[in-house]
Amino acid sequence: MATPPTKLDESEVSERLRKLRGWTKEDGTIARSLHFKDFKQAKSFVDRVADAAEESGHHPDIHIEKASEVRLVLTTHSAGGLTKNDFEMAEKIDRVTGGSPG
Amino acid sequence: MGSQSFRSEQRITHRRLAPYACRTRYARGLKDPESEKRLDDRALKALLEGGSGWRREGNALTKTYIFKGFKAAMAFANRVAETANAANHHPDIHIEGYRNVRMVLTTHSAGGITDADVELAARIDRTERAGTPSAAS
Repeated sequence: MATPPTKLDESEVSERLRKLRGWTKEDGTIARSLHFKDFKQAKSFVDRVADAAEESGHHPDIHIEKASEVRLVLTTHSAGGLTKNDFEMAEKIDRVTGGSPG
Repeated sequence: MGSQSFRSEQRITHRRLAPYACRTRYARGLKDPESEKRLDDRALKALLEGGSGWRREGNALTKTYIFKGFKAAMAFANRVAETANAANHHPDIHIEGYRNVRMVLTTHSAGGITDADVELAARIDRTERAGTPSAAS
């Protein structure tokens, strides 16, 4: 939090992305889509993501679509691209959401 | 007291007092399946031209609410989720730039905007007024 994160170069991004499952790189962001049974489940997933985001002070864009799909998009606006914060957040999301579908 | 006669009475009531019946069914949190089939053009026009901030974008209604921070944005999204559950009609909810909440309303089964969307738009605005967002655009 203290020092602003610096933008990762392409090879660092690729390397970190390899360690994640379900996330894809898109235009200076990493994104993950998840499908749920219904809105209630999608919402409870979003609640856990929101808690994790609040805890780390790094917030993904959260898109709840067609009542049961959730798309998460991470980037660091201040750095103009992907930083270690984004990958740490992605890992954290995957941890807190455990065996979520999608 | 046969259930058959009860059902037909309901039907007649619904037909004769459609607007009132819709409101009460909606208020109880019951879905009015017909509302996902029709579109009252005047109600849509009133929403779009009445300074509500709702815009038409392709086959959908959209509006962006701006909050002080992520917490307030999420609190609003949560209230909208409850409203949507009660109406059994769900908007796309986009929480972007940590404090903007963009709503997109459409009826997928109808391929466009229906009364269910217009009604939900009004309900979302009421939900917003019930909270205390810093601004809406």
